[in-house]
Amino acid sequence: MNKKVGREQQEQEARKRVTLKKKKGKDKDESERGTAKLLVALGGLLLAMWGYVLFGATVFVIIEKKEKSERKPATILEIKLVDTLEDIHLKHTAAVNTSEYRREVDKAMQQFKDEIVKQVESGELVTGGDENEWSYESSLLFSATLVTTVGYGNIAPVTSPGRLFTIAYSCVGIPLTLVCIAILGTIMARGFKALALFLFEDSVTEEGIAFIPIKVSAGVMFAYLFIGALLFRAVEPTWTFLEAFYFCFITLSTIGLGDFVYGEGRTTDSNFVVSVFYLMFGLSVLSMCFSLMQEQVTFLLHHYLSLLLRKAKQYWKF
Amino acid sequence: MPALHQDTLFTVDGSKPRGSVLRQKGTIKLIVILSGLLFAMWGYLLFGATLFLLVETYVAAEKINTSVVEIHLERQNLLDKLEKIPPINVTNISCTLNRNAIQIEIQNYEDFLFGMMKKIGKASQKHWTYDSSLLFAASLITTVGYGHIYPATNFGRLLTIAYSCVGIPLFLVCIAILGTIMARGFKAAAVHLFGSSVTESGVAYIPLKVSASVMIIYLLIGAFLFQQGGKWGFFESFYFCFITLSTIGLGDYVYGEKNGGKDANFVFNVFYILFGLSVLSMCFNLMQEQVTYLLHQLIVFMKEKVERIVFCLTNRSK
Repeated sequence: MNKKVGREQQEQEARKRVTLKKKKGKDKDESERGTAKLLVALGGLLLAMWGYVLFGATVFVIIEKKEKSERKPATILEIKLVDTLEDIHLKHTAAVNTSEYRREVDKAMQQFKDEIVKQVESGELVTGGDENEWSYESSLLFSATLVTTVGYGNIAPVTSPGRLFTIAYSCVGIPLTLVCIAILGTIMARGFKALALFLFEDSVTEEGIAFIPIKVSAGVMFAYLFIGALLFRAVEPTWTFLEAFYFCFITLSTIGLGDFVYGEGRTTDSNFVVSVFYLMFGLSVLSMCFSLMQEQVTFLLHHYLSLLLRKAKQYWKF
Repeated sequence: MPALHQDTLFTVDGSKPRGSVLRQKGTIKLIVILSGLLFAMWGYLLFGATLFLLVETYVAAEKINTSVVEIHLERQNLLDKLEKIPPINVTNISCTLNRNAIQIEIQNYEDFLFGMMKKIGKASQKHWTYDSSLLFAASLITTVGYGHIYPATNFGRLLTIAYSCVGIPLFLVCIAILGTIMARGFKAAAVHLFGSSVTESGVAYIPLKVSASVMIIYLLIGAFLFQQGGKWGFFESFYFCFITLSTIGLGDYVYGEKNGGKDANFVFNVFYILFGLSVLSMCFNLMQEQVTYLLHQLIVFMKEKVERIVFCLTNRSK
């Protein structure tokens, strides 16, 4: 008797499972198989992508590092200023601290400043710490900004072979990165949905598919930006929180204006690498959120458009 | 089988064309939506250009005034520091200045100047004209992000973020639809010109070589056009076109910059970017179909091979 009941129960449960499966759709079976395939592909692609960025960094260092002697003109101006100061000093050897002495020195420095500004604006002078311009770390960031199309432009190749390599390198690197990030985003999206299903059960499903509200996806993106801003603000004291947030946004949107570049102008270049990690991981998170939002938007659009169509048909019947 | 979004131009046996492009899966619907979106996008660009121009020339003027004060203060600091440097070779008659120490202080002041110029330099009013502002807005929504100019104030930065949040998705949707329509048109033209030699099971396939050539031709045309009568070499011009259309946008070359005050070229730059990205979208559309199809064939092929090997091995072990 118990066995019979037991078997009935089992059958009932099996039926429930089947209908549940049907409810959650072939989607679930397919998605499990698909996810394994994707993970394998992803592992290979990630390896290729990182190897590619490192490769690019090495090549750029080799090609571009010779051109580091561009900054000489500033030294010429500096020496000129020092000479002028010396002349003034000789003129006033007797009374060094008079106001006239200060005035003349001030004037000399103003001229120096004006000359610097003029030469920078006309492009004769290169600003920044050019000694380390094409170090391995900054080349790494440069390669990463190429394949992600962020393109800060804080450094750029000045030699023709450098530019040629940039083009060839990007032609391969951009599609590679795009595919990688797209796949990573898809996997993360599935994981996210699975998590949501686990936590909130059927309240997030509709016709067997989990829908993450747009607010949630947007919230995740915002959180990543916010955390990034906190992080960068903490390690880059010359930035305000807003500037750090702005930097994170401009970077992750791949706009990459280049007015803020984390790691610029510092003697220890390890900061550039932090940027690279933040960028790469952030783009995957973004890809995941876009994936989720796109499903939601498509669903909503379809829903509202068919609603509108129905209303219009009713109206025209009169 | 290849992705479900294939457009079947032919009936299943591949003989008769199913209908004109216009009757295909709501092309007209798409064109109507697209027109609306394009109108919105242009309006948005013009709105953005005006907005940024106003903010950066009025609000930023404040910031520039304060920075002048900052520079002045820093100069006073430098003066004080210089005075503190003890002279060397002090004798009863004369003393000479410590040139090296002075030069170091001057270099620090220089770095400060460079930093200031970086922050506000590209915000000065002579950089923000309507045309350069239009290019700035375009560089945001296309994510090219030259950085030829950028906001100097926090308010401007917030505006940039908000503007991009709306502009980038708007642009992406526009470009995606535009690319789809252009791809359909391209395939219809190919079918019209070459008949069924481009089809396979009722679907037209454009070889990768062809799509790639279209992209390269567009780049070459741009390279030719942007030479500006020798101002840029052909290769530099080509490099600019590539860096722009890939949306990397380093900013080392920007068409329209430093053009002796004639800003019309900025607008031309905008047109080149917008149209070019549509062409790119079309090519990616075409290439994606082809790649998916080829990949699928490859996977099927490899599966068969693996199965055969496994079969041989298991049979041999018997």
